[in-house]
Amino acid sequence: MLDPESGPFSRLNARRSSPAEVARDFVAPPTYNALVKERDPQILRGPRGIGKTTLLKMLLPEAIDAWQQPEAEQVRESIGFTGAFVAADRMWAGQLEGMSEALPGKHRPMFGRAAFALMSLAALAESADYRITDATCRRVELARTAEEALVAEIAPRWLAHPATASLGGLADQMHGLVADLGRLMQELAHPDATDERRGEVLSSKLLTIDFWSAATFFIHAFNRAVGQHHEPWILLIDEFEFLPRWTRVGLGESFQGKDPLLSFKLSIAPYTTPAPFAGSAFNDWSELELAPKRAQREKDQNVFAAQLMKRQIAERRPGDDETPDPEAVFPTGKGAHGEGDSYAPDSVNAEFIAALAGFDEGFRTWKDELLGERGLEDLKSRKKEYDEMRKAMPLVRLRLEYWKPGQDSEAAPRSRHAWPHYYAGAQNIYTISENNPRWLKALAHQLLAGYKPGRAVPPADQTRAVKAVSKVLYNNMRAVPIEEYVVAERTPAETERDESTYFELRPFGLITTLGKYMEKRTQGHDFTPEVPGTFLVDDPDPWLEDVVNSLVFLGALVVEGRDKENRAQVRPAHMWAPIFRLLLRKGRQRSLRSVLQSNRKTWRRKPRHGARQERFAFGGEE
Amino acid sequence: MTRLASTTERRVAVRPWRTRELDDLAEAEGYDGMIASVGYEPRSHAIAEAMRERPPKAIAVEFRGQQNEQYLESRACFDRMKFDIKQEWDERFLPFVASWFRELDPGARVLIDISSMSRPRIASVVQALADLEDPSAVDVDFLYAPAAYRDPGELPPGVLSLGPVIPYYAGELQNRRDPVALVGLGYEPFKAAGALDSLEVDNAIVYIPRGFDERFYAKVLEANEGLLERHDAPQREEYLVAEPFECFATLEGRSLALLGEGFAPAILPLGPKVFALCATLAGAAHHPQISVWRASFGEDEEAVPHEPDGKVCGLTVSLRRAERRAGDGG
Repeated sequence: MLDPESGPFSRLNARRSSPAEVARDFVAPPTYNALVKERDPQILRGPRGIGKTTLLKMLLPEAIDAWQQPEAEQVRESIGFTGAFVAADRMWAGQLEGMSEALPGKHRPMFGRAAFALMSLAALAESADYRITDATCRRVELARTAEEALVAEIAPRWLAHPATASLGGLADQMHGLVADLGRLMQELAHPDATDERRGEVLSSKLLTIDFWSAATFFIHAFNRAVGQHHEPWILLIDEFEFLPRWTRVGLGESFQGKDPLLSFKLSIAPYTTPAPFAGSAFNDWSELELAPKRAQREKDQNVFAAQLMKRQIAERRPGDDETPDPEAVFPTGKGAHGEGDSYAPDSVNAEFIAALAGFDEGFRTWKDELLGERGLEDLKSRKKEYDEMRKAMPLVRLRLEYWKPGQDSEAAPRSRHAWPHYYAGAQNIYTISENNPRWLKALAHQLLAGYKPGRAVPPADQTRAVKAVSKVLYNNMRAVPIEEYVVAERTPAETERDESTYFELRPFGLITTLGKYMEKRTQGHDFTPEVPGTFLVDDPDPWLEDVVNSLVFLGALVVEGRDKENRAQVRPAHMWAPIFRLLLRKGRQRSLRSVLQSNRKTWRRKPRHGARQERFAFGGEE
Repeated sequence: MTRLASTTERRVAVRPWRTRELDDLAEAEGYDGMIASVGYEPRSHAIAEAMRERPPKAIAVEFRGQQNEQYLESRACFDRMKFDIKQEWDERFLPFVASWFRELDPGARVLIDISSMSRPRIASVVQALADLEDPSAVDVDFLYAPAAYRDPGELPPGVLSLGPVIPYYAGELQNRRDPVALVGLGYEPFKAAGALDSLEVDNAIVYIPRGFDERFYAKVLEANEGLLERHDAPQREEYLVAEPFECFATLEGRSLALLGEGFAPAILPLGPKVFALCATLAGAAHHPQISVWRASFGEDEEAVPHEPDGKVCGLTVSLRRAERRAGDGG
């Protein structure tokens, strides 16, 4: 029998896990407190795998009850609302979209509205049921007879059977009605459906259910029944962008109503600002970025990653009380931190500089221009030169890891089996994972495959494991769909989508082009300490926007910030660094438009099966 | 025996069809009708050409796109064989084929050549059969002429689209049962991995085809290396292209077991078309609980002029009106 707990994707996916299962592995990131405290609408934004689903599920009473961490008690006491989780994953959305294919466009929004309404009502009933049965968190008492009376009051408004006697039964019926709705859609889409039957389907009561009035009626009735008249309820809507567009529009309309006791928190992945929400109830929300700016991420999120990694290590040391810190299990490689700031003749820094200058003509030229005849002498007192050299040291080290002296003092590539140490070390692993729990778990699994308690994983083995994960994730991008993520109706730009300058651009092509562009400047002949690594999305092309959004969704591109004109600044995820031999740095900003236009050959080239990553010859051109 | 979902009382049996050489089809006779597809690959007309006798109601349905030189040759070939060539493509195909089945005489025996059918087309034929309201008696041989081996081409430049193969196979609209993907692998590199990654299912089982030519098998493994060898690799099963009935029985059995365990089976038939046939038959037999999906680069998929490799395999689906036995009630 298949076990969702041991399935191939299970450990990486919270969507299908029960709240209790999610709680078992939950490590609260800083964002969690903001979600617990806030009752007003919130939008949670972040790439896939960053933990949006987990965070939303951890707002359910059932998950909070099951959470065993020390801070759980405080959350149980302080949370001031009842959460109800509504899942809208890609598969469900695909079903809905597929069923609607044969429907006239004008009928789709009503099916979308109804599907969302029924799923949301089921979620409300499930949370209410939990609160009166098993809950500790948000526990309320409701006698059996009172529950029956409550359900009898609600059932007609929810189109449930009059004999329904429990909140659990009500939830079951809502799920059943969702399935009925699917059957109605199929009937309507059937080529043999008569006009008469179509008319019957379109006049089904299921299509008349109004989410807002049905939900608020329930909330007020339940609150009254349990004597908590002011209890707020919050719908936790996951992966909102996957709802078919006509459902999203219908949902926006559903939220036109206002009730202080009903709010929402929803998660989205696209980088584009959800401007189409404006004009609906969605225009009043705060936004939480799950991939915050670098400085904050390094400060706060690595703590989260370290906890998660420690738990992964602990799982491989059953029964052992003393779990070592990830830093001890994943030590850095040689020269990871240089020798502090020393550039004295016998320092590691001086040794690296001399070694690279011995065969790297580009570096030698750069160094000689920077330092002049004085070389490293008294470098600390020469502020400009010192700062430049400090910036250059990581690149010096990286180039030394990939190149060695060849014939006639020319650079020669090191063996493919000489795994660089640059990417080793717990902190670097967190950086490569982008603090994405899904990626971090995949890395941990590979890194700890042969782990023996008491021993550290050698730096070269770490790099080999990291690159193996990178390659799988990179190759998967060869065949990923491009969604039209923009949340509401697109106007003229949509019609131009097919005529886009970038129409031949694919997600894999974009990452490859940017990776190669950076690789050329990192490992090529010329030496520049500040390598480009961030790209301004400065072309409002709808196709390009969708490709970028697809990659942001996957976590393959990371949004670093926005410029004054609110244009996104993105960079390839550090996950690709071992593939393209890049630094783990944000890097200087370049115009995405100019990079793409000057590298058309790269992204227009068909990806080849099995083609090895091309390497730039030292000093060579692409 | 497997029932296809319907409101009418009838029996549906899926039976093996003995695999043979294409040349052996010269002896095939007694068909009342045949549906083939005009394709850009020579194998699209290989089965029709191998038959000495053209069935009375023989039609070849065209495709709207990729009408290259090879395609035009195929059309000319069907024309010479006096097939009725139809332009009932895309969304017109399902109503057309449903109407075609309804017009068959009771007891008809028909041949459906799926070799060059698209997956939505195969799915439509099976849906039309499942929807037959009054199947007095019909026997349908679904035949498949595998392609001769050729190395896989480069990845198409298009964008992968994912969705139910046709609306009928969207599955039961629900979000309570965990989906399990049953993926028929092909030798298109990274396609299965990309599709699985996008669908984000919790569990997957992959079905690896063993074709008549062993080189296919090696290429399938190579194309899916990243998926099959990663730490969270899906469960593996193998099936023989030459034994479609066994493949169907395995797939249906596994789907039923998953349903019994509370999962929602979602079949993604990449690879040989015969797997798509088995998937859609299983989907129709347990409609709407089993969904069947499609991952496609659409018309960007390369128009490869596949030659037949000389074999033909298939399945027989028989529909009969159910006879009530004593004690059945009603």
